[in-house]
Parts: sequence; C-alpha cells; structure tokens
Amino acid sequence: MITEKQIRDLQAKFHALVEEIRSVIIGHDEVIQQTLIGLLCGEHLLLEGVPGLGKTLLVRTLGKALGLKFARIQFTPDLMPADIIGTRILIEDEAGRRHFEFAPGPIFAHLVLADEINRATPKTQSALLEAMQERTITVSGETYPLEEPFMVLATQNPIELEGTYPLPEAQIDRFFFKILVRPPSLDQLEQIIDRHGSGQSALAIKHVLSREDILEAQRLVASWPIASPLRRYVARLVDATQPTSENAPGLVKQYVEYGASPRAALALVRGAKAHAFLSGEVHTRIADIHAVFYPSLIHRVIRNFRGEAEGVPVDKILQEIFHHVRPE
Amino acid sequence: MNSFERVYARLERRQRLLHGLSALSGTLLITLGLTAIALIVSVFVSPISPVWWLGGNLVLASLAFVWGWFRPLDMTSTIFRADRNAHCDEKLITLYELSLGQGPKEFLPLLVSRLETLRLDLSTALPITERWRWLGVLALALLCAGMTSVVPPGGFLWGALSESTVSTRPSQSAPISQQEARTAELLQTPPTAIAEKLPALRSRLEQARAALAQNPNDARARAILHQLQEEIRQEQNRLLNPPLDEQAPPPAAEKSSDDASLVEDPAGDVRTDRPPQGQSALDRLMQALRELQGQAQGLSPEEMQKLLEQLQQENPEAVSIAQRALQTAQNDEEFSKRLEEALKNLEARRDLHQQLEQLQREAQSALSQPEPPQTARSQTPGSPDESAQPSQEGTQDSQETDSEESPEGARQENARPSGGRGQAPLDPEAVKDLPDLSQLRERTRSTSVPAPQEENLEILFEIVSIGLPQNPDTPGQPTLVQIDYQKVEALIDALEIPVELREAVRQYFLSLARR
Repeated sequence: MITEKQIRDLQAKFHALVEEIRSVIIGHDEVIQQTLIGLLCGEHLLLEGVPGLGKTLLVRTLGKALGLKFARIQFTPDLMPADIIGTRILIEDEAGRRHFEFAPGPIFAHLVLADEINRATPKTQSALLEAMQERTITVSGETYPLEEPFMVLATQNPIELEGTYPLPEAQIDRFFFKILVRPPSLDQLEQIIDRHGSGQSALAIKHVLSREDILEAQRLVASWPIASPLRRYVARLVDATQPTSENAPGLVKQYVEYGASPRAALALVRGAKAHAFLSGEVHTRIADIHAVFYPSLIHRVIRNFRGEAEGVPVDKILQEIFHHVRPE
Repeated sequence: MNSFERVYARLERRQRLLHGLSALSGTLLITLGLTAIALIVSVFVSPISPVWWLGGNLVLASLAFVWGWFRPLDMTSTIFRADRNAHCDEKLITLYELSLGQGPKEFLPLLVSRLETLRLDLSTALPITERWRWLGVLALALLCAGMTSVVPPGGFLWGALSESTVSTRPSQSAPISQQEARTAELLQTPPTAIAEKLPALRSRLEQARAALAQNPNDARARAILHQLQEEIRQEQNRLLNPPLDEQAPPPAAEKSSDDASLVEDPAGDVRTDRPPQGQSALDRLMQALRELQGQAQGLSPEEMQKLLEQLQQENPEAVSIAQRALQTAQNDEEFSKRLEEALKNLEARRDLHQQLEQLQREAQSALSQPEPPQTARSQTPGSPDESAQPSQEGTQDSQETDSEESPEGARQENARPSGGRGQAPLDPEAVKDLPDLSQLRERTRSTSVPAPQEENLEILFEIVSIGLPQNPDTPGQPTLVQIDYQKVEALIDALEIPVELREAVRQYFLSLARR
C-alpha cells in the first residue's frame, strides 16, 4: 500500500535530482524533464541537436546524480556490434586450459549514451536497438540480461548527413521520446560562459537517488491513475495522426504518409503519468498529456513526399492535430 | 460521507436538474409553438381559453421535467465535463473512476484529501446551456399571452383565468366600449346635417298635412307621414346615440325604464303618451354635469375621485364625460371650462332633439285625425289611390272598350295577380266559378291573427278574392283587394304585432298601395 508520504518522498527526491542537474546544465529544463520522464518509464530516448549543446553532459550528469553505471559509445562507421554488446574472448587459465569467456560491452550499463548513433552502420545500429528492445544480449547462444534500470540515450546530429546512416522509421519508433535539444537563449549562454568559462567544469554532483528509488518510482508511475476520458483523448490524438482517419485534420491528410503507431499512444499515457508524478500530483491530467504530446509523436509521424518536398515541418502538423482534437 | 461523495451527490442533482430543464424547455418550445399556432387560428374560429392552453402547457412541461430528472445519467461524461469546466485538473473524474474500482485504490484517499480543499461552483461546473431555447420559450410565451389578450376582445391573460370571467367578458366589455363611444359622440357638436334637414322635413310634413286636409283618405299622404316619422326617429337616434348599428342590443333583462342610458327602444318606437326617454336622459345628464361642476370647485384629486365613484352608479355617462374633462384639464378652471363646453354641446343636441320631437308629434297628430267612413266606390276618380284601388265594377271607359273588343283579353286581365287594375266587368261565366264572398270572409276571419277588433280587421282586409276556381280549366283567378290604409296604421299599433315586425307589415301595405 502506497502512502502519501512515500509518494511525497519520491517526488521530493526527483525534485532534488532536477535541481542537481540544473546546477550543471543551464537551460534545457524541458529536456531535463523529458529525460527524467524517460527514466521513470524505463524507456530509451533520442536526443537530436547540433554538437556542443550539452547532450553528453546531460547524460553524464544524470548518471552521476543517480549513482548508476554510465557508459558512452561513440558511434562511428567502423563500429562493430561486438563493440557494443561485447564478445567472447579466449582465456587461458593458470593450468593452461583455454576457454571462452564473455566480455560484456558498454551496453551493460544502466545509462548508455549512444553518441551520434546515425554514424554507425545499420548492422551496428540494429544490434543496439535489439538490445534496447529485448533488454537482453545473446552471444554464442547464451543470453545475458541487462540490469535494470536500463536506459539508452542516443544522440544524432541533424545537420551532417554525409557519411551517416539515418535510422529507419521502424527503429526510430522504438525510442520513447525524441527530444529536440535547442540552442540556449542569450541569458542562458551568458550563464554557461560564467559557470564553465574557467575550463574546469568539475562535476561536483551529489548522489540524490538510489537505484532502488528509481525502480520504486518506475513501479509507482506505472500504476499511476489515469481516467478513462483521458485515455480516450490520447487514443483520439493518436488516431488523428493517421491520414486515413476521419478525425484527421487537413494537414495530416495532405502531408502525412504514416501516422503514429499504438506505441505512440502508450508513450503518451506513460509519459503523461510520469509527468504528473514529477509535477507533484497524484493523478494524471490533460495538461500532462499535452506536456508529452510533441516528444511522443514528433518522430512517429512520417511525412509523405509532398510534405517533405514542401518542407512542412512535423511540428506544424502536430500543432494542427493538437488544436483539432479537444477533450470531450 | 467523504468530500467526494458530497460533491458527487451535488453533481448528480445538478445534472438531473439540467436534464429536467432541458426536457422542459424542449417541450415548452414545441407546445408553446403549437399553442401559438392554435391561438392564431382561433382568431378566425373561436377563442381558446387561457386556462386550457396554460394548464396544458404546464402539465406537459411538468411531465417533461420529471422525465428529464429521472433519465439515466452518464456520470462519467457529466463529471468529466464538470471537471473541465471547474478547472479541477481531472481530479473529479479520476476520483469517480477510482471510487468505482477502476484503477489503483491506494490513490483514492490521496485524491480525496486533496479534494477537501477544492471549492466546487456548480454553476460553473455544470452551467445551464441552451439559452437560445429559453429565449425561444420566452418569446413564444409572450406571443401566446399577447394572442390571448387580443383574441377575446378587451380581455387579459390573467384576468381571464376563471371561467366565470371568461364567460362574462364579452357581454361586459361591449357596454364599456359602447358607453365610451357614446360619450365621445355626445361631446361633439351635433351634426349640422340634422339641423339642415329640419326645414325639409317640416315642408314635407306641411304638404302631407295639406293633402290630408283635402282628402282624409289620402293614403299617399299618410305613407309620407309614416316615412317622415321614421326619418325623424332615425335623426333623433343619431343625435343621442353613437353609430353602433352593427352591435347587438343589450339583453332585454338588463333594460329598465329607469335606465339612464340614452339608448332608445331598439325599434325606435317613440310613444307620444310619455315624455321622450332620450330627452329626459339628456336632461338628467346635463343636470348631473351641472351639479358636478358646482361640487368640483376646490376639490382635491382624491376627493374628486370619490365624488366620481359615488356618481358612477347614478349616472355613468356623466362620470365618463367628467373623467375625459379631467384627463385634459390642468386645473379647476380648465375642468370647469371643459364641462361647460360639454354642456353647450349637450344643450344643442337637446334643442335639436326637441324640434324633431315637435315634428314627430305633429306628424302623429296629422295621422290620428278622424276620417270619414269610406268604401271602395266613394274614392275620387283620378286620386292617387285609384291606381291602388281596384275598380270592381270597371268604371273606366277604356277598360270597357278593351273588354268589349276582346272578352278573352278581359279574362286575361282579370288573371293578373295585381288584382284587377283597370278590370272590365267580370265574365258571368267566370263569376259562377268564384267562391261566395261571405265564405271567403269567414275564412279570412278564421285564419287571421286572433284580435279583439274583428270589425276593424274586416275593414282592413276587405279582400275580395274572386277565388279559387272550382274548375281547373278556368284560366284566371281575379283577386280584388280593398284596403283602408287609414285604418292600417292604427291597427298595426293596436294589434298584437311584434314591434320588430310592424315596419315590415306597414311596408307591405304601402307596396300594395303603390300598385
């Protein structure tokens, strides 16, 4: 039986975690919040933004604040799957006997930063994505489970397309959120200079949450109450992304090739629950759904040729859906 | 009962009320619309009692409200709507579903504790919508009320709620409008046409009198005198009454000889043996106004009102005139001036009335002069009556010539229904076929109105019907009518002929005279 005190304690800890991250990461409050939502849901995130915006710093800070094992994989074209998941190596013991022993790759961590994931070959990408999905690694017929909490934060650079392997839509769909990391504002930039201008960006991060706290929070969020009209509202929102739907607005019918999958609906509901938790509430609100609407759907709505040719941004299509579908 | 249960109960009642009001307004929109149509139609048919349509609408509206109240509720959508409208951040709907066991129950107390701080404004949470419907209902109700006050003349919606009021309204409203019209008429100067007509009437009277002096049996002169009397009567009525010919006369039971009304006998029958009713009523009205003029000096409005109320029973027309004067007068002097003007007008009317009355009397006296006994033979040849008096013996030469030249022509001439103008002596053969005159007289007596003056009747209807042929081959049925017109007038009054039929009887005999 959950008591209010337990909920309050957990919410306070997460609040402290946010504050801890904000002490290092200037601006990007929305990114921090969405990252924590992904953590609370035990899902993987795709961060998109130009280099130098603090993506890696954010993940590293998060790992330190949580006291979790953190790993970073820099994806390159010559990166092999074994470089990610690990491999069996031949070991010779003191008696001279040789045997294969599994050497786990960097994926065997709680928080994995897959930096510039679109630079690796599809074979390597799919190895990572399979591990993300299955939460297990199978090498030479042996299966190795990944320890919870397990969270992959992949980043990709939207401007350098040469020599990259963009993720296919089916694989992008496996990311819970796609978080757009935008450049800081002028004030935030000034604060960044002021704080990190000395070149000694010592990460004096306090450990505010234990692994058990995270797992407890994940269980709590999973059971977070959400009313049936809100579930229906989510379903209608996702349904409206389908160009064949009667509820779809004009922009969707005109510029969308494929709408969001049911996974998007799940992401919306779970993300809304986690957002409600982080907001200090004990139930899910429509405002929580709205808060996770864009990151849940932006990578799941695939434009058609016309939409891409005319440069209609997905944000605009989502905005149209948002205003078109109202709670009833 | 926790805070959510209280909120839930309030929301449920509110939603039932909204359902009831929605059904009520919808029903009223339909029923009042139909009522309005029915009321519009009733203008051409017969008025609908407000009791019926108002009662019917209320009963149907009540039934609709009860039906709406007990309609099954979709509390999920109701609470969600209330939640959204009251900006409760979906607390209510989550609580509702948790209370139904949908979701983790451990969150229920947490949410309930948060709800206690919430103040729910029901009018915001579940507002009354469909305002256009209520506007429509209001408009239709006003239309129906307006129609109700228009359809029965002079009636009002709420005043007509009781059956008795409804049933008596038309008979009460009519005299009020009559009296107002009469008062307005009386306050005007008398029509100049009446004064201008007086010399012409007198001239005609003198001519008729002169003709009667020469020949007391001159039926034409008598007819002229009767016509004059009728015209004088009409002019007198015009002087005293507003033009209300199309309105039905008041019931006989309500009339009395002491009635102060200026309306004369509906038949206009002015008796010479008593003072003219209209004139005396005019005198009474003028007297009342003069008294009022004297008493009204220096009275406050309240005292004046009391005085008028006292006078109301006694002389309502004087009160009506005084009230008109009060409405237009600013002070006592003006009021007195208005009354003075009214009195002048009334005096002018009374003078005209008196002159007409004098003419009426003179005409009556001329008609009542004694006349010598007369027979059909004694009539002066060539007199106006000659054409109307059939000559039984055929004294005119030309007629003799005609009959001698053509006996068949005489037979045909006798067959004319006019009864023998210029008739030749009757064919002896045809006379044989005629019934005995004495028998015919006997038959006439037996079929006439039983009257005490059989002798007069005999004179009046000395109708010689040379009768019904015994032989069907007889071609003609010559009929001789001999009438003493001098007696007709007296007899019409003496016999028990209904007043409203007397004129018709008189006209009938006049038409015979013209032939």
